[in-house]
Amino acid sequence: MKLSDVKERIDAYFDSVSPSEIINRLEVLGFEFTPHFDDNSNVKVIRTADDVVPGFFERSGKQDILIDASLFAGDESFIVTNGAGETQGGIPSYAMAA
Amino acid sequence: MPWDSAPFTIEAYHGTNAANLPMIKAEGIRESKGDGHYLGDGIYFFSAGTSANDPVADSHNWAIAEYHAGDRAAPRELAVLKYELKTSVECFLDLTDKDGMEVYNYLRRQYLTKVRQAGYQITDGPKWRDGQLLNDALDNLIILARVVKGNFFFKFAEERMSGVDFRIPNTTILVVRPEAEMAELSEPEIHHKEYF
Repeated sequence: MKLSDVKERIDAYFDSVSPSEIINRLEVLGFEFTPHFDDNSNVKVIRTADDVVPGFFERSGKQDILIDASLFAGDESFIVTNGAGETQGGIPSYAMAA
Repeated sequence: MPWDSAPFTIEAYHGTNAANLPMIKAEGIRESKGDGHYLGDGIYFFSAGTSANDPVADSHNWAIAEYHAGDRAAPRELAVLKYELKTSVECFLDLTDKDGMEVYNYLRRQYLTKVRQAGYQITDGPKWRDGQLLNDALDNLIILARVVKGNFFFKFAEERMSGVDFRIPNTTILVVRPEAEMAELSEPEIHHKEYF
């Protein structure tokens, strides 16, 4: 089996299947997932696409994380908020997992 | 038949307690299912491969190791069954060569991309996930492989007793998906061996 013989079939499949369907199937197979962050444990800022905002955002009580909020723009898996928990329009200042 | 265009055969070996032979003759080799299998669900064999292994000896040694691990009574006699496995290029994913690895790596990337697009990352799941991805890909006919071959490091009795882990493969295995119309097994030749 060569990739050149099956690539079109693989592409067609993954173009048509939704990410949530893949997540659901893999969960049935025993995979576990957590929301995805662009993560750097030693950086004490929250960075967005537009600016760098000093702040302390803890996950699991241990680390500050670096977030590129543009990763989540338009993604309904996340609610993007400012530090007060208010939902922001467009590219936000803070991003937080729903 | 899918193998009409490019058929070929592979020698495949399976070690077992000789007392199981009547059952295997009547029902075939039992399919392995579950999370822990190297190449997903299917019927497992040893095969000659790029790991320079001896598949007859590996089949024998694996049967010994499995009986020890299961704390079962040692069989009086082992049997190594040799099959001629008929398949085709279209149905054969060979992870011991570059072509097969290109297919698998591309497939794996598609899964991980979808997971990322969903806003997730995989965490704390089962330790080895290749078999599960292959199960999903083959169950959903994303690729039509019915025979998958790969090199792995197996803990035979000697390796289990030594308690040491390695990554460089020491054997080559095949898994055959149960859809018989796409991978045909011959009647086995039976090689009896003493337990030790």
